[in-house]
Amino acid sequence: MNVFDYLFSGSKNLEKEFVLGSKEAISFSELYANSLKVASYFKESVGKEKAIVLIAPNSTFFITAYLAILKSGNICIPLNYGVEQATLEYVLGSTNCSLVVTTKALAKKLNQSLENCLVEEDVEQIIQEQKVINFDAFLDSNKVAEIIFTSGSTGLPKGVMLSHKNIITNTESILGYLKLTSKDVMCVVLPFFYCYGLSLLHTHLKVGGSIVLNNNFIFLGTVISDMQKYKCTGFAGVPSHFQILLKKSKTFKDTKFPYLKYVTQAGGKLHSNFIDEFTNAFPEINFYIMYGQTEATARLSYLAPENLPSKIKSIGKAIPNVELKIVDEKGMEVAVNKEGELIAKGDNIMLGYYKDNKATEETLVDGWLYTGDIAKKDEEDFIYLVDRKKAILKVGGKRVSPKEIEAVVLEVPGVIDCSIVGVIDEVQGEALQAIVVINKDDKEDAMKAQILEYCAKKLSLYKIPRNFVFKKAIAMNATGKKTKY
Amino acid sequence: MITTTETRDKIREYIIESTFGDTEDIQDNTLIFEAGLLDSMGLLFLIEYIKEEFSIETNDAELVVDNFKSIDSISDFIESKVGKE
Repeated sequence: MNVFDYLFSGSKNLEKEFVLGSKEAISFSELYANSLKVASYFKESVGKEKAIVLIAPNSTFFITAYLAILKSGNICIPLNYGVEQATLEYVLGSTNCSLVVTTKALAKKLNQSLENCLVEEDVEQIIQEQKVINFDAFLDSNKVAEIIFTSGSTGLPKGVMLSHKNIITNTESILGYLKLTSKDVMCVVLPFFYCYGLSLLHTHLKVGGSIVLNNNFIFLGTVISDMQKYKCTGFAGVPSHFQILLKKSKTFKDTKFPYLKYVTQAGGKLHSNFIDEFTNAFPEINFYIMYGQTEATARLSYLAPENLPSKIKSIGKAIPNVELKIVDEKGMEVAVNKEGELIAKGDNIMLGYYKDNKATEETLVDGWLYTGDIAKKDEEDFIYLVDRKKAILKVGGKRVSPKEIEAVVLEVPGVIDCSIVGVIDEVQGEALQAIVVINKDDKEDAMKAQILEYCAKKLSLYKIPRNFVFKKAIAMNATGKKTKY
Repeated sequence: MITTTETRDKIREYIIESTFGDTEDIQDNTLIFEAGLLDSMGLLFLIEYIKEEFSIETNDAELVVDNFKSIDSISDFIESKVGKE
């Protein structure tokens, strides 16, 4: 089954609005009709099983194009609109992508010629003129539906291949434990190029609920007033969202959200203090701690709100249709309270990494996904994350490879050595700190300015370290290796 | 008293410095968030800067796109606050 047909199975004729908001709105039936036309265009002009890159902020434009690519049998590659030029070129080249769907403004910024791009006006025109063609009634649901590029521990981005079945399974599981209905309205501040954001799109479309798009979370005034105006029942965030609401907003904790039933938090660890602060301020709102990764489509576990008081540090238990185990280096399950690697099995686990058999073989073993997270279980089978095996940091919910940033900083003249580490940050959850070794004669301020300027040219904003510690090189030994700094 | 031009110059200078942007690319009416020059963290730092430089507190209700979308709108926002305080 094509995931498009699954998502619209109960909602394609609904006249109610799926996307709500002051900027734009669209009903289910209109979204269905528009995306079928665009899908027909893709099938006729691109073919099938071809990569189509999609770069756009959350909007009906994004949603229409995304659904159309899936329906057409092609492969959607959603990319961060802050993507670095080099990463974009790498993705376009390695996937032989011939078409980029993006906004006019982003096409210019990303140096893409409009000839190879499909922008807003083109999609509008297709919706006006295109005739809907026939699609194969049956589609092998193990076919790749999308490839989500994520930071790999080696520094190069890795393409996570997700099938139609992966998305369908994970959507069913999430709907199962969150018990969403057509009455639910989600305030979406998470971008759709990221698996957590996409899961909100999938679940609410499937269940006939609605979403309110808000692309600038930091405009707290707009977010809070939208939540009230559109009667949002749910809010999903990464640690930094909750930390900003609790620490940077002066009125949030005193604001009333009469319609808000629940909030979900994933994308890294939110310190228990913040969870306590939130639940004390809003005892009537259910707080779900969740855990997952792109390799699992989105979700692997959740902690039910009723267990929060006694298990606040836990990521809960496996979601429906997922099996979780903690194993030692030989793959044997470890005893209660013993640490091991968390592994997962289920129909939501990715097909593999795009054109990277070695990484796929290391990560998928005998049908189990090795998450790279070190965890332990208590007597009641609640899982606790202890550490990360892979060298990956999470900043604002996004995966960041220290190696990638270190390589850029090391290109700055005068930098002798650099290591990027995660430090606890009141707002971002985990923030990047650069520990930089420079010559004893170099000025720290000048070096910092140089490094920042260079990073700004080479890296997306969220990958730029904000925090610097300088160490001065004092001595080198005969082989030129650092002996002390 | 700070003039409108001075406010605008200071904001422009801050944004160009903090984003390492090219002067030519950043006009007073450039939509700085849509153009991807600033992200969420960038806005938080900008609000801190406005607090220090102009002694202006931005409250939640004022944290809306219209007040911060461009150098022009940020300057207008600061002017309106200075006038009141």
